[in-house]
Amino acid sequence: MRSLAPWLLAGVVLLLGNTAQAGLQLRLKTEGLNPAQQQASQALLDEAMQALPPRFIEQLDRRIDVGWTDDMPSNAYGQASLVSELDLNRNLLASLTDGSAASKKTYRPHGTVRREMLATVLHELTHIYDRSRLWPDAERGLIQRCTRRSSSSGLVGIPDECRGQPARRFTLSDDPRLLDLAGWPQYVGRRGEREQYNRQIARSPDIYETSSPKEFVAVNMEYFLLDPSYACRRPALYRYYKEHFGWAPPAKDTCGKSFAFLNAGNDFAKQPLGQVDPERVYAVDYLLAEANQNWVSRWGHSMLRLVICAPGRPRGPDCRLDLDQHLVLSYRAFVGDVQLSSWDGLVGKYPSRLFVLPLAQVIDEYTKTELRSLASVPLNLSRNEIEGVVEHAAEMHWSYDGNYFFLSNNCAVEGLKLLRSGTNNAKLVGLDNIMPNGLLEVLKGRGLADTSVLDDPREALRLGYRFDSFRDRYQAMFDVLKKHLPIKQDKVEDWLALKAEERRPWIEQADLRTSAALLLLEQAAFRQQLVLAQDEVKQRYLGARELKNGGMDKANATLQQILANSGFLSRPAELLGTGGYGLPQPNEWQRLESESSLRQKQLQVLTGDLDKEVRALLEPSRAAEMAANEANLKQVGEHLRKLHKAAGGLELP
Amino acid sequence: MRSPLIIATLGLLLLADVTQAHTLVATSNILINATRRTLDFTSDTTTSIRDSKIVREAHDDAASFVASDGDIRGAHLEAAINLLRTRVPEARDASDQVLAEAILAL
Repeated sequence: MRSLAPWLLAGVVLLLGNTAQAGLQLRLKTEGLNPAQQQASQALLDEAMQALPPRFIEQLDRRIDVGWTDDMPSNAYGQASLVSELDLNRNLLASLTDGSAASKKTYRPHGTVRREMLATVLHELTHIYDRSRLWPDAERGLIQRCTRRSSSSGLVGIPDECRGQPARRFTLSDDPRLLDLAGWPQYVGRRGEREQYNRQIARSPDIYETSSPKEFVAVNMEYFLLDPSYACRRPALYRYYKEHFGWAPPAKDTCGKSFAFLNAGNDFAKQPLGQVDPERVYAVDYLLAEANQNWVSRWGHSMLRLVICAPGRPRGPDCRLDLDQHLVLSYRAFVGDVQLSSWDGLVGKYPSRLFVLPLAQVIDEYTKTELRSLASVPLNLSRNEIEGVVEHAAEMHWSYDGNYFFLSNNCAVEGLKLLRSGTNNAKLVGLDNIMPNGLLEVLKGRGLADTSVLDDPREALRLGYRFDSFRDRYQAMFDVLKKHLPIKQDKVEDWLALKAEERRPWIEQADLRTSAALLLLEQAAFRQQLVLAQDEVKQRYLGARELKNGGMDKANATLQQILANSGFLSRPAELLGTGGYGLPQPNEWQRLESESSLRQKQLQVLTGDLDKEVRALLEPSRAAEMAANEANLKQVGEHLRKLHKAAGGLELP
Repeated sequence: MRSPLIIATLGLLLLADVTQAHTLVATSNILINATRRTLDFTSDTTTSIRDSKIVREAHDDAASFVASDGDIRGAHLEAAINLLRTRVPEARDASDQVLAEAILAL
């Protein structure tokens, strides 16, 4: 027994020695190279070897011959053969050898020509690694299991964890998780089949990455290995690579804690640039606007609500009422009521973008303008998942420019993709649903959404799980009015159809309670007038444009300027230069701030001009009615304050 | 109360211009439904409690509450009442009705 130990030890040493020797070797093809060229080439290869992850070198156990060739398009850097050869463009050899490549700028994120060459070697090696099916053991086991399952039971019968796993052929580029992050999400309703086109096209370091998942993997590997800011610019992908290799490059920037976003709120007087600190996000809610008769809205609209705590408030349920802090993530096509073409919607002509909006604006839009109610249902997500959703939303905000198909790629689908990619929650992976209301049911069914908050409607309203349509409120207000004043009208519609001047005499007779009702009803009347005015002006605008009759020229010109100036709010990447990619970093912040506030100021001036010009387009009778309506509103307000003061009510400081 | 109607109108105007469809998409999202500005009193430029966004945004909820005799009680009002009770000494012991009336009278 005793004599066995040294033998065992020797065996272990031998084994270790073997693994140390095995692994990737890059051999320079020296034929035709002078000593200086050989030396410069070898230095490049050595540097590449040093940049590679240990697992990469260990697993890609082979010799790869690297040579210089003329047989390549002049603008290409290099290419790899299928298995064990790598060619570099001979055009570049001279500048590598004399050292000028190290200082020659490329105006791409890598910076210099030499850096591009280094990136090329890493890129091409990654292709070989990707093709070599070098899965970690657990993943290999999963793939085998899933392949067996799918050949015996077919795609319909496979468990969720097997989605996208059967018959995988690449180490990285057909991994479902990678495809989620990279921008080739699952088609809904097709059992894991992937979308063909990548729409994460803004703020790309190299748009070539979107040409295929294989290129995506190779391009991102360049940045993972060479760019210390990669972890901050593409945090989710950074973690993906880090996890796969069990290693990350030692050089890494310290990332900011919060994410920048452009607030697309409609208040032009406010600086649109904002920040979300994931630490302050207490919960993520599924926010669903109920359907109405309009066909576009027939399935409702689904959004996500970020329940953000006020500064200084510890994360907890109290944050639910910090309503002024909450933000809504909403994928929107451009949808206006009358002009919307259903055909264009169905064929995906409307761009789909991720907008970040203040909650209060969204509530007003739906409950007061569209008269639809909203339900806000908390999602059961872990702390990590919540932060993942916020992070992914920020990434999509800056990079995504999609097509909006009402049926197959609507808000529910986009929202599902965002949740799936952001959380990587197993329960979401196998979810196939394309309708907003249906999605909520499915989320509930899988225990991901807690709809019990809606069980008691009064509590739900009080705590902000439900925001009721003002249609119901206007009716309730009218009932109060009817009870307290001897008005003749029996229906709220009839009351609102009266002229403002006919309603006015009642204001002075109202007590406090009735005045409050009158106030909301005057608001309802005003909104109604707005809708009518919008329609009239639109008709006149269309007519005037056809006739070129001068009246619209000035307004039209201003309008074009506004268009040109406001696009940035929905395409935030336009504000930044081409130097950076992914999430904006501190050195890009200043530019972001100055650019956005500059454009904001221009917008404010322009909208002021337009106000004057378009006001002139109103029918005189419409303008008079609106003015009278505004006067009523003012009078009710004054009447209310008078009553309040007379009753000795509390005055807020 | 600045320029309410026109911004709203703009949203529809934009729609009309087919050739501008692309930019239009961008703009309209911020312009459409902007009617909110008409009846919107919000401002967060000052620090006094009566001007705080939470209180201002509770105005319609306060009106509903007072008119319905406490029956309709929205989240905006709930948030504003909480805020007033923590920030304003004389609000601490005041009833919901008193606070809703105070918000309504702003």
